[in-house]
Amino acid sequence: MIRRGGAVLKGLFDAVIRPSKFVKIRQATYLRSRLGLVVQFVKLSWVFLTNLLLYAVPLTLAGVGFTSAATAPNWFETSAQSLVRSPDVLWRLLVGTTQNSAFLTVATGVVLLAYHSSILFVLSSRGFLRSFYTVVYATSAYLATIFTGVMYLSTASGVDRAQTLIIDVQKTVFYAVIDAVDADVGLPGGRPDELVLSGLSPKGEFIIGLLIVAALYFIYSLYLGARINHEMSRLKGLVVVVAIALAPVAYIAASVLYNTAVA
Amino acid sequence: MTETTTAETESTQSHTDSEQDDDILRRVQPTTKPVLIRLGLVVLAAIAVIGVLFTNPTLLGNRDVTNVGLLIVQLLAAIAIVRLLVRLLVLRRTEYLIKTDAVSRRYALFLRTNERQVPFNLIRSHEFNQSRVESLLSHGTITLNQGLGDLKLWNIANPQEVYDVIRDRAENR
Repeated sequence: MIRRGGAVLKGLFDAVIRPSKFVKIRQATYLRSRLGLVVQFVKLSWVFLTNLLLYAVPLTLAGVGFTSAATAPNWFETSAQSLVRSPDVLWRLLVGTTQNSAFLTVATGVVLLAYHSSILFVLSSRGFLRSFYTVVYATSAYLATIFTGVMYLSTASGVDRAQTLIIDVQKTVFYAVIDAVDADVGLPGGRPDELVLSGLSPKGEFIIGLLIVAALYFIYSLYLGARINHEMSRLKGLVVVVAIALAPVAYIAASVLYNTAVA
Repeated sequence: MTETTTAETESTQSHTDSEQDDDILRRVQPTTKPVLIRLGLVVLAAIAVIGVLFTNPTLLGNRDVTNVGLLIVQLLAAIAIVRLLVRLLVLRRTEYLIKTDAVSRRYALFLRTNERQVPFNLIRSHEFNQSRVESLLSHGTITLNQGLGDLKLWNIANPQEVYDVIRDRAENR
């Protein structure tokens, strides 16, 4: 237990102070055999799942995504009745945790796709698992921090202006893409007015500052992963960074075009 | 570069063994000068940027945005300074040993000793690099088995001399 606590602290230290060590693949020699690849893949999936739960369970317990009205289906109630006194509460916890995990899981998938595609594009891939390793560690630490910050903004008091600003920034990006592809779609609540950058509370300023720092870390860690794990040049590493920055735009454009086609 | 399995050993243990001096060809202490220079530059740059933002509260549009900018600079500067201080501490407690049969990097910190070693017969690649700062100071970094769980010997003074010893022994095995 103490050993595990020490490993978590070391991970946190590396994530903040030494991101290059944090994303650098360990035991690279294991990636040379098929069995080694499978073992590493299982280990990485386990790391991702553990980190996902470490992110989603506290959020759910804090009330985010915890739907108090939901009742457990019969099959769950029957099987869980012998284990817990109230299967409904356990069901709500499971549903909330799944909902809270879903967004980070989808985001990780999108980032992994964009990241490895761009690495293949610049002809520098040294294997998918190296990309998977980088993305698992980068999303588990930095993207999870960004999501937690945004979740905090949406629930905490005294940060209304900061919350509105973050929502308006996202809407502005969406509408920039909608305008670029000239699609006849819109977001609920409509087009935001001009971004209001004043009137932020000190707490709001602090959260926005942290979000920007976490975003910088996220991009930088992916760059480091490309440079170290795929042994890329600086220029190729920058191409990967640009591809990652454009990934949300491509994702939004694809959603807008899909919705336009369906409509 | 040929990839082959490297039997490096990494241990984090209480260091009790007595090093046989006969086996040691060179004992190299890394220099801390490049880290000290970087630390000085980071501190100066942070003070300059923070000073400019403090004296011009509307530099980034309005006071709130400047406050966010100030916070970001302070955070990143603090992280960079801690990082360089840790590096400085580790370098001060590090020594590189070129033995008759292996190259090792060893440091002792907070009552723990960490040793990483590559035997000469398992060295598959060796590189010698100098950054701009290292070049100016005649220091350099030697990397063994890049991409195979590499061993880096950072900030060596007279690096060419040390590199020649390692290269000769690795290639004559």
